[in-house]
Amino acid sequence: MDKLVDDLTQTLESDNRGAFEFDKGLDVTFLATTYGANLSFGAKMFGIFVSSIHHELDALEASATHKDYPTIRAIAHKIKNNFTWVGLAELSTLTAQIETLARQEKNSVISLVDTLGIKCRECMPSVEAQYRSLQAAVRGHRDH
Amino acid sequence: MKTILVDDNLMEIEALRNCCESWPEINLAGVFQDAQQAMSFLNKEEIDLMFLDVEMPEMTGLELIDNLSYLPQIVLTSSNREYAYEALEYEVTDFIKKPVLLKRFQKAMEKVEERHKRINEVALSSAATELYVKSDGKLVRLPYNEILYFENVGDYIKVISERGMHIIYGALKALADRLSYPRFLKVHRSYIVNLDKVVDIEDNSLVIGKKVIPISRAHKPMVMSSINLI
Repeated sequence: MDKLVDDLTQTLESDNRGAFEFDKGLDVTFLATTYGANLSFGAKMFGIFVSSIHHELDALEASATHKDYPTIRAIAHKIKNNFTWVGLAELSTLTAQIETLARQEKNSVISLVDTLGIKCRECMPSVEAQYRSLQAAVRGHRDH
Repeated sequence: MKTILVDDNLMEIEALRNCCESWPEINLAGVFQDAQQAMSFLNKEEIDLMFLDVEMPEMTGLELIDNLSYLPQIVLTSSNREYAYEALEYEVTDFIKKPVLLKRFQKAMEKVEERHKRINEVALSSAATELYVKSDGKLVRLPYNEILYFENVGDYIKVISERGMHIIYGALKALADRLSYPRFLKVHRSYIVNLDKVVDIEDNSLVIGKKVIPISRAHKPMVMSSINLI
């Protein structure tokens, strides 16, 4: 029975691939390719991002305040791809730069961490809205 | 294919899990967010395949490989292309630059299955001609045509070959199921003999070297039908 429901959900998701609109403020091509046929996967990934990024950014900013380069590097390394998964490839590139500069213990990394914080927080309304719409789409398919 | 995922990033784990769900042959046996946990698991269980992140705190993926007592197939994952060189050095099955997307995962799985097939073919051809027994901390190769007989002694089996004796833990029945050599024949609940080594057969016993081996009544018909009696 569970398998039948899963299959039905998948079919509905495939049928609605074209119908689901990804947020234009994010990397639509990446999101459509990655989650278009599997919206519940998309909802899960956005959910993890939304629930963890604030904590990670706070930790990154705190370590920047203390010029704790190894911790900056470790956090940047850990989160850099997370931005890609929610259609923010530009922030992934920025975080990769932070990782490199932190490895080299360059002072300029501090301002880059600030920039990342500002840009990420600017993007969060779009990310959160995308998360809600993905959740709604998945719920909609289940209710069908 | 028994598989585990090792990555300290939850989103990467989730992405890999999603990929694995698309590949029916994969049986996901464990998901670990640090290498130490994976290490403890691998000390207890044998797996076929591991997706392994390179850069993790405490213990890196490469350190984990260095500490393994056996090597399953490994697909290294990293957001850093530099590790592709290490991947070559470690002779892993594939290296995927993160983020791991479905198409790239499927390509890696094709390589995994190809290697899995090759490993099985080698194992099968080996099983047709020889076996290995653990002895004094070594694995000793015993070609089937050098083995005289197997004797059950309690929870152990004596393996008598032309070059000496080895004792292995196990039951004769389980061993019989794994021997694919047609000249091995069970002649008694405690003996499997190599028919090519039989010197003579008399009533309810046969001789191999100087050893007299009993033939049980139940096994006698099979023994008689296995020899070329004129």
